[in-house]
Amino acid sequence: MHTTKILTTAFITATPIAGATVTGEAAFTQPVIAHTMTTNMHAAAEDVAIRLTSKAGGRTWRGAIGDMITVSYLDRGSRESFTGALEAYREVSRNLATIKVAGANGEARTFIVADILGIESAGGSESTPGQSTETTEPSNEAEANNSETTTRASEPADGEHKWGFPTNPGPDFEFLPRIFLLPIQGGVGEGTRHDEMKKIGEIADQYGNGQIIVLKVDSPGGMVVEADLIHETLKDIKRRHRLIAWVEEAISAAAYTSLHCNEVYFMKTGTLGSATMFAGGTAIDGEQLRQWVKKFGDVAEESGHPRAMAEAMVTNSEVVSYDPADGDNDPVVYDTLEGLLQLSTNEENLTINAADALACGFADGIADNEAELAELLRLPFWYETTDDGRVIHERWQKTLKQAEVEIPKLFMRAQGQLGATNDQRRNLNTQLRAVEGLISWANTLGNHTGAANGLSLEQLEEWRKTLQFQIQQLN
Amino acid sequence: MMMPLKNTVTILLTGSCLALMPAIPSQAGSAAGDKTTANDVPDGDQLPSVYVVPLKGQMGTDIHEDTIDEVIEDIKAQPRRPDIVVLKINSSDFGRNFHLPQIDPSEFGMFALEAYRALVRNLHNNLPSDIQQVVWVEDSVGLATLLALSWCDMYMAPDARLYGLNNIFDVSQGWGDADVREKMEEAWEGIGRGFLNMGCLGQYARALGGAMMDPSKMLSADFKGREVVWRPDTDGEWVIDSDPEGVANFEATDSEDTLLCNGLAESIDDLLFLMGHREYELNTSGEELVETYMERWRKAYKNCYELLADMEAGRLRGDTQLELLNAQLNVWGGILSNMLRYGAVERRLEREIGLNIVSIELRIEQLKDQIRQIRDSDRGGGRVGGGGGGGISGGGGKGRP
Repeated sequence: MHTTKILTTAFITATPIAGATVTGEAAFTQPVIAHTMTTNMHAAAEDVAIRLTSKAGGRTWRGAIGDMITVSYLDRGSRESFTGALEAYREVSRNLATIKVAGANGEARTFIVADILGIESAGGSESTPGQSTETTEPSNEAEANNSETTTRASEPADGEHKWGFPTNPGPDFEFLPRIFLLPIQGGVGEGTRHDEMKKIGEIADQYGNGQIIVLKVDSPGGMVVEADLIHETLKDIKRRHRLIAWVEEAISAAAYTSLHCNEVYFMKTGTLGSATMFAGGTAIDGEQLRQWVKKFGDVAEESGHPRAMAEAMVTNSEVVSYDPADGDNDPVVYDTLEGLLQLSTNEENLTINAADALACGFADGIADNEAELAELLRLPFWYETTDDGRVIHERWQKTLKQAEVEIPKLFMRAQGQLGATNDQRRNLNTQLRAVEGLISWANTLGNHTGAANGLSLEQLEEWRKTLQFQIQQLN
Repeated sequence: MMMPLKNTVTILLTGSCLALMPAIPSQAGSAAGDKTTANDVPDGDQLPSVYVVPLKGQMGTDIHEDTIDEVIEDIKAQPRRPDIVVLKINSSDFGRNFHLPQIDPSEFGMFALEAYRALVRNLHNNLPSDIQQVVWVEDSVGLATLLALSWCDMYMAPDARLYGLNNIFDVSQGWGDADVREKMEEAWEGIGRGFLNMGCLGQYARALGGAMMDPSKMLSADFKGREVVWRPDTDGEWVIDSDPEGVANFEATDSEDTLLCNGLAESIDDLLFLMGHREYELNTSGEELVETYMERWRKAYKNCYELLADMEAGRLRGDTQLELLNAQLNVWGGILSNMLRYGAVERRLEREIGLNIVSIELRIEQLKDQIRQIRDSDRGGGRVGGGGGGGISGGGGKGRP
């Protein structure tokens, strides 16, 4: 019942993408184009079961390609409908399916299934709630699951990169900004550094101002000194581009990093906060704490986030509560406990999760994958102009893994615990080469990451000189 | 049309059990269980296909993110795509007498929240969205409770527990400075609450999750019709936790009464009946896959300890130092191979005796070095000392296999 087709037709409609929480200039109604690189397509008199989302009561419409249907959907807040023959149903990706309906006047529209409020067959049968059993032939189902098409409804000019995302939204959406995604993973100062952020900023610069840079954050925090460099880097990037944090884990210095972004989206499991600064196991206090609290608050405020929340992440003494939106009013965040819901008392350090962050207005949305993020950003689908960010991340992570294995070996060689022979000169040369290897690693990793791996360039240089001297003594 | 598929059995809940079920759904499972081939299913009707994923045993080893990768691939590769995936949780750090830990502490769950988060996200995001995922808790004490709370549809066995999230609080208690300790507590609890956000409990993750993880936090509930409003205090209609030194734990009946779970089910039959399926087709592929993984990694783990014990006790074969060093090299090579094959082996050995892939690679390098030295000396007619490189160091002494 499922067949795989090569898609060659561009489907365009003016259906607004619902459910997004975007403000300002981004809040516009965009036409929708349905295309992707992996598509299960149903066409030509096949039976289909279209599973609608919760906004349609989780109903499943069952019928066949060619059936006359009326589709209800929201257009700028008002319920609209469109009647025509179901021409195609396509599972574009795991979270994105579309239907194409050909109207009586020759107009064809494509709807994103997630936007649909209801489907009614011309014969009167409606989508039915809660049904999950489908009558698909197993063999064809499996075939459809594994199917891949090689072309798209609207072929992106530059194709797709190895992560499987198209590189542009197609010729009909050339007005949309370029998108760059940089995963940042690991401790601030190790996996999370300003160097990679600077690189992705420079790559975005090549396309002019106004591009979108998404930082996909998964970091438990780390060094304040690196956080300061990140601060300068992101402040600079923000002058030219739209900076977005997409948070899985942003603890401590990673929370600080994320607060630089004007838009923050959470994954469902996302968490952000806990930014008490400490040194030697003791939290900072006095003037140093006051400055750090202020800095956190300033960064948050400059990015449009409530100062009270940022400050409560730094120190227990700052409290925060909020009143959620009530339909007429936006949520209100208080730097007292007068709000209906308390986020942090004076005995707590604030770490916020997805649902709370959305309810209090801190987060712009919750997206668990790129397709969901695209929807929130009001993009027709997820595309990445280049995969440079992912490549930069992958290379750096690989370097860190190599360092984890290589540096201990080099230390052992440098100390004569590995590679030793009965020949003293040979041994010293082995040690010298190992120290030079460590110096090379120290340069590759940079000051902070090198220090985290026990590498001090100054000490290594001393060590090298000593070994060189000992070798000379043997001559 | 029913198709004969490998690893599947069709289950029809018989009339006798149906008579019991509607009145007391949670007890009906005891009567359920007659399994017959559903050759009376009309042509064209397909029973829902149910794929069970056991999440049982030790968190972090038996329940491991690598297995879930395999499970997901297996589900996608099934000739008939499952309609329902049942995640059957049975993982307890404590026995039924809560005051006594498991006899073998090495079987306590591993503290690897990020790995568990990846596991949960993997199942949520990488299975086709039209496959319904439900959790059925047979018992959960420890970090497995986070998994249980990570799905919107959760059922429990009548004697199941949702206990033990104080682990998340406990891990921060080593910090001496009160402010730093609070930061660490909140960071880990924040990660923990993320699981509840995944499981449709986001609105109440702070109150409910906080009380389940942090002993100092209270929990009560108000009821508004069918909605339960969790409160981080004792002012609600139903006080769940008023003890400032203990976390909120839930018995199955409490979970059902507070709508934390969808219902109580004694068996898979019972569960499917509660979900509205009188008949279903059980796909056992996932159970076989998980059982095989558990059997294999535990065998590999035991093998590692046997190799280490032989080495420690001087039972390696060799008449010369060179032969002995080569025998040691084989031992470490064998352990490394087991670790590379099973992430669970590395996780377990690292916790117990401080061994990991990097440390073993270093040992192997050292041994190769010593072997080379001896060969060089032999060629030159002399001998050097050596013979180190064996033994176990780091970590807290040798554990039990």
